[in-house]
Amino acid sequence: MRGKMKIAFLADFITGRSHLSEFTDETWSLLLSVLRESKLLAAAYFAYYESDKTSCIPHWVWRHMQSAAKLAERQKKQVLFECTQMSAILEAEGVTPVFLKGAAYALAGTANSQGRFLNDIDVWVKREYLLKAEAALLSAGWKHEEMTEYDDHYYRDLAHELPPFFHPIRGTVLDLHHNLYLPISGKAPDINLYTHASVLCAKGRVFRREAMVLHSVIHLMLNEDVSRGFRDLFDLHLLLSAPDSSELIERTVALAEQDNKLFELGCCFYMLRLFFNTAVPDPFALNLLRGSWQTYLCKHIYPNAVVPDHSALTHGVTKFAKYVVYWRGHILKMPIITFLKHVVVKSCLGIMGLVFGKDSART
Amino acid sequence: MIINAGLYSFKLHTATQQALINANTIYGDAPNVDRADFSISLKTESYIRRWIRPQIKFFADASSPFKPMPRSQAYPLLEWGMNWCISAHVFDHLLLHAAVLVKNNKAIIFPALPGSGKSTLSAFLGLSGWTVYSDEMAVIDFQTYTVRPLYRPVCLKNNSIDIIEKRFPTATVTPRCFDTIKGTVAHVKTLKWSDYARLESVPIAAVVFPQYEKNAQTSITLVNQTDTFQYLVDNAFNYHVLGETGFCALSGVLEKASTYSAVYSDLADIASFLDNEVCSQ
Repeated sequence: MRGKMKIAFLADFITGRSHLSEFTDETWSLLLSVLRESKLLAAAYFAYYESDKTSCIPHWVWRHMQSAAKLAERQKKQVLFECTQMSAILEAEGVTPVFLKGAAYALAGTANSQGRFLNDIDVWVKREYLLKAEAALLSAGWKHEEMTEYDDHYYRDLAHELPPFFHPIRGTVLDLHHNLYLPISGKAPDINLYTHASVLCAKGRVFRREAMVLHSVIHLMLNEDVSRGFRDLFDLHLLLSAPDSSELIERTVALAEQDNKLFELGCCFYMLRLFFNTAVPDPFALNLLRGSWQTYLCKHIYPNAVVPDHSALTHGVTKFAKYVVYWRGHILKMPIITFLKHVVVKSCLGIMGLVFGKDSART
Repeated sequence: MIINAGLYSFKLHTATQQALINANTIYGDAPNVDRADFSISLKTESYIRRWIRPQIKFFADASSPFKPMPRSQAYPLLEWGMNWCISAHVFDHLLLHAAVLVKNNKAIIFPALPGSGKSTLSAFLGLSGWTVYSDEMAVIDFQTYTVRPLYRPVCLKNNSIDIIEKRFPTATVTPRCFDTIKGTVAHVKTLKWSDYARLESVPIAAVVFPQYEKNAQTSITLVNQTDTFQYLVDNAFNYHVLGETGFCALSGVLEKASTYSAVYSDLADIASFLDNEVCSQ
């Protein structure tokens, strides 16, 4: 079934631009599979549930969209509960948490929070309060996932977050951040630009909207793993399609300029216009992209790399693009010497684990 | 091929030859459909494991929920994978881990206790005039509290394969798969499509906890409804997601259903009790 669906077809469907009456059962079957794998099935439900096009969606498809929406809403409820709990635990220690990404969308009730599946909760605290926050969470019953000493060192000394926590009873996973990207990379944002004027919602604090948008951009553009890239892009589409979007876009561009993230924002603007026809400025007209490499990445690599990992959508070009982004993401994370050392240590630990068992790599 | 399992259909992209033959044995009489609720495949990921101790992996879309299994166990893996697809993605019905048998338009739910003989009992009843709505999951409507039929086989394990084959020599049973995580397994077809096509949702008359004990006299005990409720919650596939809706559906079911525990060794004896006491007209 390789290459049986164009990414534009998926984009048109989730933005309500498809001619649904032309779909056959075979088309719906493939679309269902692609939406499920892209984690967009519940989002598709919310894209259509108030639309008069619902009548064109067969009942057997609609019931799956409804099911996915129920799961997403249940996850949202759980995340809001966890945010309340976490805010109470941390604020009792004088630490103010700011929730990020999926949890922040749920707290702020943004359009993209409807039908968005949530894997974990991301929360930011000031670096000087990181260990205090960790101790508070551990004493409240949260635990760290088991990992090697090296991985623990990687998180604490190189990364922008502590080793992940999980709640042994509720199964929730939590990432405690002190920045949005690895400080050792030299590309970590000036965090004060983002945390400035954070907004207190009913159940927790979140970034102001332009910082929320730019964090989503950074997450998409600086990570090596873009398997959820198309979903992240759809997040941006919904965030930037809000009624006050023109002012929001101006504020986001200004923030990107201050934090030197114009390429990342420009590349996302290009893809948003390409896939969703989002009302964002042309990045080339705004001069957000400079040089042939940035233009190449923007026009040819990222739009192919963010294609969901489904055999109906992927082909040689998308696989090559994903490969380029994978290595770009790794190389951006840290200076090349540190990166090579990291690769050697991880490879050795992996081989030791294979030969002597996993426990040998834990010490 | 598209496997038409009645309420849900599965587009099977790739599989082993034996799995396809078995799927055709079980589902071959169902009409062809173009719609597929789930896209699945059985694939070998590692080139080496195609040749040395061959393995096979189940995929739903591009995700694989299980570890690889020996290639010879492809068909049980396919059936378990199909169960997983429904239990992990369906939230428009309450799904209980239980067998469902129907007679005289009354359904009995048999919750799954490991080693209880649930599947043997399902196959026996299914081949003795009852209708197997499901061997693995009860699909319950939120509003009507009725149970819906699935077009699926019964999964027999170990000695129960011999018991059923001896008692019903003409039954359609797939070849045995040895050394699976559940021991030796085979799937038995208890319904023809022509019979399935006439089935409708039916009300639930009873919840029976069966317990096979060698040489035991059949004994039936009424079970506390609160305990039954708790047990069903613990063994529901999607109660944790449904929340209040699931609570109301389960309460609605138990308001009208009798609840029993049944210890037995004689299949005909327990069948007679269910026939006369629970599902009599």
